[in-house]
Amino acid sequence: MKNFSLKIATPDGLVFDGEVESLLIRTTEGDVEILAGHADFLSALGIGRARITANGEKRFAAVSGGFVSVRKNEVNVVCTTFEFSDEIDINRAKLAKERAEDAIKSKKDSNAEALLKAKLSRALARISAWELGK
Amino acid sequence: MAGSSMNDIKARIKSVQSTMQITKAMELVATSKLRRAKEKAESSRKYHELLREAIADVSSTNEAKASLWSEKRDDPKTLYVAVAGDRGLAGGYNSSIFKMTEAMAKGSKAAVLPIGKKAVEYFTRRGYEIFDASNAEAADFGVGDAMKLGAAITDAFLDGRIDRVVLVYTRFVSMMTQLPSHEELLPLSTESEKDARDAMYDGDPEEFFLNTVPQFIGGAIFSSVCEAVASESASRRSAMNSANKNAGEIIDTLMLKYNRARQAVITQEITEIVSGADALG
Repeated sequence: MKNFSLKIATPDGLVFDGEVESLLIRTTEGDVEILAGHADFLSALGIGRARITANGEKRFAAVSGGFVSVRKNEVNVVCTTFEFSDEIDINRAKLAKERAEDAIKSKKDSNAEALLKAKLSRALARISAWELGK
Repeated sequence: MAGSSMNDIKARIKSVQSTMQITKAMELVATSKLRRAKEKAESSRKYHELLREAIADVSSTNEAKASLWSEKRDDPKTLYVAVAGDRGLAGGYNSSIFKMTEAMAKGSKAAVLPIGKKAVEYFTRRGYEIFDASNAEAADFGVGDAMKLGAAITDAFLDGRIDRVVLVYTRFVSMMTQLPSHEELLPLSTESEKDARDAMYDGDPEEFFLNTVPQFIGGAIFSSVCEAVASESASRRSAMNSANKNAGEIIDTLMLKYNRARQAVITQEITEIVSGADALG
């Protein structure tokens, strides 16, 4: 398969820089898979999983915030967090999920609910990326 | 009397020596902090560059040109995000940021968002309109804090409470050079070095901006705080280094004075003894 160059940057630095075959990522509009030769493209990212395929090997990650841009076969992902499955603290994610669920059940405040739901979906993204990466 | 001036000089030498001990310790602390801060600044710089590139790309497309994000408003009220340090004793580090901000804010409508204890104190005392004074710890400033500010600033921009956003911070060029610099974040600049292209938007472009601009501003603030923290340590290190050199020089001259005074006392005593012996003989 043809490769393209992918860069992933977070505020803590460049987490990935290399040639890959495919990138599957969750945008605000839904999952998008990018292969080599993709047309110029730009989209904001939602909270969810990402999958990188390089040399036939798949790696999973949890992503939140930011955007993905494709330009002349160069792909940049700029996001607030990007954690590969082997970097995810699964116990912490599970704890965060339970806490967020409890808080959503017990509270009726709509402002806090949006925040809690974002917390919950981040935790769910981490758990599912971790399970896929096992 | 020569004896008392000798004691005076001795006391001064002691006091300079104890000051030197403090400045030496501060230099060591700044050096070790600098190493960590430098790594952090360098890794966040890449993020900042990619963000800026992408935003420039997006802004150069036609959708963005028409959008309210890049429109220059009349008689704008500018929000200056001023990043300075938590402590003094870092040479001109804090004051050059204050000077730069004030020079730009002069004669126009302005508000300030200070980051760092010194900046909060300075701009509050000067009577500036403060956007948010809760960021008094530049050293502990995290990604979460930056993203919150990014969202708050974007809200204020959309509400029309502010019309322009300028970031003022100290750029970390090298261990020896730190440059006070400024960068306009909003309205988005429509001038791009590359040709304007129509990027393919997935969904509504306004939606994209609404999602991305707060992150762009938060990211720019975070990365500039990282640079500023590294710059602060570097400029404190060089300030303390020259303080050490100064103290060494002062001690040397005082030593010379002390020895001279001691010599004068001895000479005087000999003269007295000789003349006393002469009078007896």
